[in-house]
Amino acid sequence: MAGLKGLPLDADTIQNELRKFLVDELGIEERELDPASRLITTGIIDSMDMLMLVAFVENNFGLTIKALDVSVEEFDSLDRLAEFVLHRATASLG
Amino acid sequence: MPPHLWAEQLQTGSVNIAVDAETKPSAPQSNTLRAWSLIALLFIVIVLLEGLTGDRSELRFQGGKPSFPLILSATGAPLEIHFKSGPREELVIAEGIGTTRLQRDPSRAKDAGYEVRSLDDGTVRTRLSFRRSPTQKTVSLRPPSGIEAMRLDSFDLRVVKSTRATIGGYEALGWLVVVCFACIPVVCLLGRSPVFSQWVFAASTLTWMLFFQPAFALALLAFLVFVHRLGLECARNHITGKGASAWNLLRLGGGMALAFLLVGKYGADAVAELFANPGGLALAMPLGISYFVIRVLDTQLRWYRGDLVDVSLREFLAYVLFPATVAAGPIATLPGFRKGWLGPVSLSEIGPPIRRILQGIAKKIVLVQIFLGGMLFGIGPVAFDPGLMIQVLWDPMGVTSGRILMLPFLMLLYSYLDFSAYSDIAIGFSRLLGVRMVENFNWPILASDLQEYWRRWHMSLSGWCQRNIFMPATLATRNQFVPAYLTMLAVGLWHAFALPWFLWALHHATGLIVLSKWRHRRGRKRELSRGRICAGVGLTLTFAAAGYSFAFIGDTATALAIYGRFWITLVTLGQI
Repeated sequence: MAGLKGLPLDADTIQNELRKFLVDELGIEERELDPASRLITTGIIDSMDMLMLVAFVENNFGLTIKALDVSVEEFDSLDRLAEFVLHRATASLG
Repeated sequence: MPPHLWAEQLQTGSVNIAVDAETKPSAPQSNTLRAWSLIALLFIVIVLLEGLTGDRSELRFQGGKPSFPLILSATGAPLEIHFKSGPREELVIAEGIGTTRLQRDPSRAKDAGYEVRSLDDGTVRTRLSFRRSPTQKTVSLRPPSGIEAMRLDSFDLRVVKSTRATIGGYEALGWLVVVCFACIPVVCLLGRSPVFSQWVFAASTLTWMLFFQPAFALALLAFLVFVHRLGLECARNHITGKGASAWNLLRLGGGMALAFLLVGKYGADAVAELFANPGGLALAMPLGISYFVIRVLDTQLRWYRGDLVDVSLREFLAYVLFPATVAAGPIATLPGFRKGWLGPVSLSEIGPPIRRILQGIAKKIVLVQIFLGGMLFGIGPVAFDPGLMIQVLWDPMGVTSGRILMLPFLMLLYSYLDFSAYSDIAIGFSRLLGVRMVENFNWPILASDLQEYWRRWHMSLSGWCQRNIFMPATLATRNQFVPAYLTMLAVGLWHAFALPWFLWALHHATGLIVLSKWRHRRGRKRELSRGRICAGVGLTLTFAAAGYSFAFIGDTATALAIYGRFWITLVTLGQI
């Protein structure tokens, strides 16, 4: 699993990293992963996938996600998740 | 600050992150342990409550507890069943063995399943089933007319289903439909702006509630006003970085909402019995209480995350009290309700919502009440005497395999058609009132696996649970099992705080976990053949049907007997 050490942070980079993880690690087909595709509410990823995705986001973007911090909507598509990560990562930088 | 602004700043500032990808957050073992403890605690509380309040009926003869055999005469004291529970509708199953048949006094053939059989030893077995209305406190049993006296050797009694009566019952529901109809011309003529329509929605439901349940209406209004102020304060605290303060406000608001639900939904029985309905004050369950609370909780969590700071009290009241969805949902989110506002319906658009309402009414009357009601409960114009469900409830271990297999499937179908009929009516009325409401069902009986089933069945509640229980529980515990069990327990206990619903939740959560494990082991990329998809549909339907052994039957032993025999019969058939 590639780290993002020193990588410039922008929404496209985050989205690409997330897509790469979903395809390489979770075995989701690339054609299912449009930026706005709904991942959780349509069943593309299930509970076990979600646990792995949360761990990936935390490990690779330096975030700690608490129970009520994030809504399903924010984790439900690549573009919303990338926005969330960008927002939180930047906020944590000050 | 909106996320896109952060992105713009980053593009100019080129912020780099330096994170060690191997760093892992500490595993929240303590949260997992707490969640398991909560599940265990719920189980213990339910078992204790069932023990304390489970058997709420007793037999009496000549003022005391009967000892068998006893002699019942046509003119003397009857055998009496006394019901001690509060305002409930109950399905009662009874079996007496004696020298002749037993009969309810006065005889009510219409609402009673009744079977008389001569046994080998010369005695006569009478099986009875009847519905006890919320106001009925006793039922008497005597020998049939023409028989002076009989010896009764034994008498068994089971309350197999007990449902809390709602205030006003069907009369209140009927008036709610009238309220919806009355709102349509007002909204169509004057409701171009959502502001006016929102006042109409809130005021009409509150007026209806004040008529049927004045105390609850005032309590609910005060609660909603308070929760709205609290929520906005919570959202502002989140935005201004006062996280601890926002968390405390969420706990206060959420705690109040849950207390409201606990007292109104689960506690009113005890209150009703304690105070014996003082001054005619209705203390039965307020209609729609679960739906009010569930909408409030959803909005509170959004406020906690800093969303919806622009929601006025008017809009909040209209959302929670929207008349078309007061009684049985669907459970829209506040952003969904806002987005769904389409404005007054024009004459050219009036056809589809009216068709939807008529479709719901036809489904409810023809398929649910007449056809399935007749088959299952032996009621209505095409009733099967005494009804499949009554036959199984009389003797779950002795009834034929065909009947034990058929019952759960028919119960699932009954529940699906009944609830989707209500949803059709609510969605049709919503559109006539200017709001496109979320759908509640999407052919769950065609789901090819259990996860898909739950994405198609009661979708607004499933979505609520996914947002507000499953996701937070997953993040808090980082465990695959606990969130599934907590979510299904929330769904089950939302229906009734009873052991059969607890078992229903275990059944579904275990099924979901096993399915997820199997899918991950099988691998994602393998396409399923058409035959496997069909097999999946059959298996999913069978699994969901088996769960209905618990959903329809309040007596745990009876429910377990049906559930066990259903699976054993299926396995036996499979071996043949």
